[in-house]
Amino acid sequence: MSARVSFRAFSTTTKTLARTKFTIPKPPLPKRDNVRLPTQTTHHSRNLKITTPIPPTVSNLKCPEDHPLWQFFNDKKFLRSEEDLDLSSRSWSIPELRRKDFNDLHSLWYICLKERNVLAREIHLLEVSMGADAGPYMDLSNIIRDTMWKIRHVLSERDLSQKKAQQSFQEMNEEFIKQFEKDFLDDSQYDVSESTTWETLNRFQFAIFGINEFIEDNKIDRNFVDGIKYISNLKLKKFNTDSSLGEIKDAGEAFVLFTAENNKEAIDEAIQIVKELRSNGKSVSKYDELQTVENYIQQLTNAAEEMPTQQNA
Amino acid sequence: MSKFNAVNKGVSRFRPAKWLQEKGYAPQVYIFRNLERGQVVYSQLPLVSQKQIDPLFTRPNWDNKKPSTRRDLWKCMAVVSVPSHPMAVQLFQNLGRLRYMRDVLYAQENDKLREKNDFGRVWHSGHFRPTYTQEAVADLKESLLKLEEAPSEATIYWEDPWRMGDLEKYWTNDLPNVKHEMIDRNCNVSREESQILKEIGKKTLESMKKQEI
Repeated sequence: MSARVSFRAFSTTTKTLARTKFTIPKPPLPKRDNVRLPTQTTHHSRNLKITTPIPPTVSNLKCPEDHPLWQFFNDKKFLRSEEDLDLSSRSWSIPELRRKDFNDLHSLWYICLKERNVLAREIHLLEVSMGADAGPYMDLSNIIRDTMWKIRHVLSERDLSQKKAQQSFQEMNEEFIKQFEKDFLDDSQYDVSESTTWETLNRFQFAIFGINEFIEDNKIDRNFVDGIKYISNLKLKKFNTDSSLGEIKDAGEAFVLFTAENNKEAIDEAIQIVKELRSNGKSVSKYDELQTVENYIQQLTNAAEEMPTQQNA
Repeated sequence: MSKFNAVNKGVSRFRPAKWLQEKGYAPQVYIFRNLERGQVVYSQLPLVSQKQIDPLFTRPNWDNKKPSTRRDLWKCMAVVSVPSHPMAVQLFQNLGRLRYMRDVLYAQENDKLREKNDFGRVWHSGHFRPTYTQEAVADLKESLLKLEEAPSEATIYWEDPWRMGDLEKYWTNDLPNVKHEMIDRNCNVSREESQILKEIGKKTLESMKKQEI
């Protein structure tokens, strides 16, 4: 060992640490009390093995029976066979559709639309994903498409005829009102005590002035205000009241008479109110009529809404 | 990683059980999947950062490039809840070890297990390779099976029931004590995810406290 120690080396470590027969071993270190245990104690398991990947599966998924997308499937089938298609059918004809009312046509339209959605899905599947011929599916889709344009055609016919009827009715409007007034004031035809009389008046006011029976549903416009004026005059004439009031021209007065119940007492009461209004000099300017009537109706509606709560309380 | 990246400092290194316990984390391991590439990252905390990605992608290659830290691309695929913190740490270590085994030690054997396309490459669609998530599910099962204390007692909160694989075939027979629950799909979007994970952790800690009482 000592032979290896070079005299020319700078380091003295080799020399001083060189073992000789006089070296005394160092005593062991004293045991420490404040030893900090390792914070990390776990290790990965030693028996791990790589395994085959676990593929996902749809069997864990449950589709609810009422899922809205089922509407795009016929009888929950992924793809119908050609035998399942009703290829011997034909589209609805226009005369057949003319016999149906609006609700029928509306439901038929949506049945057709849903069926075409199913077919569109199947056609896309066949042509794009499978590269197959979707001819019969297209034919059926076209048959349904024909029904759909025929529905639209029938509806447009009806719309046109309604517009024409309205146009011709406006021309005859004044004549019709005169005739109605004459008939209505005839007590042998329309008795005051009969409820049918007032139902007829309701229909009349709705047809001519668009005044709805339910007062809060009305749109307040010039036609409405003219309507209540005319109806209030008509009511006065019907009950053979004194003509001291003259013709009602003020919207406020007309509103009082219009909303009065259809019996002698109520009308008399309304006349009293009108007279009081006149004696107080209260009148509605022609320029404020629409706004004023709207406010009156709003007050009526509010009062009607509060009534049931008060009754409950 | 940018120095301006405002991430939780807790994710900067491996965390032992005691640290997790002291900081109030539940004994859970979080598994995140990359929406773009299908790669998977295991994490001790409900976060993904470069420190999680680096040790799990030791051999990046053409098939398995190192993913980015973009937060919108990482979606929590599962949260695994185990009875104690040391078990959670060991589970995390097992998962990391299995990844190392797949990527490095047994790369060839692993390659044979993967589904291939017509050209003999790992099946992919664009950058997306579904095999990584499927391997992660298999690794999770293996890690739970090989846990040293109280093996196979865990609750897995899955993002999607579809991904766990056939329940009868892979789970209930081998690991009958593992419970499978679903993370609520409602509002489970990128912005709300951290809150949902926090709530799962909180719920687990509360149930642990009840059991101790």
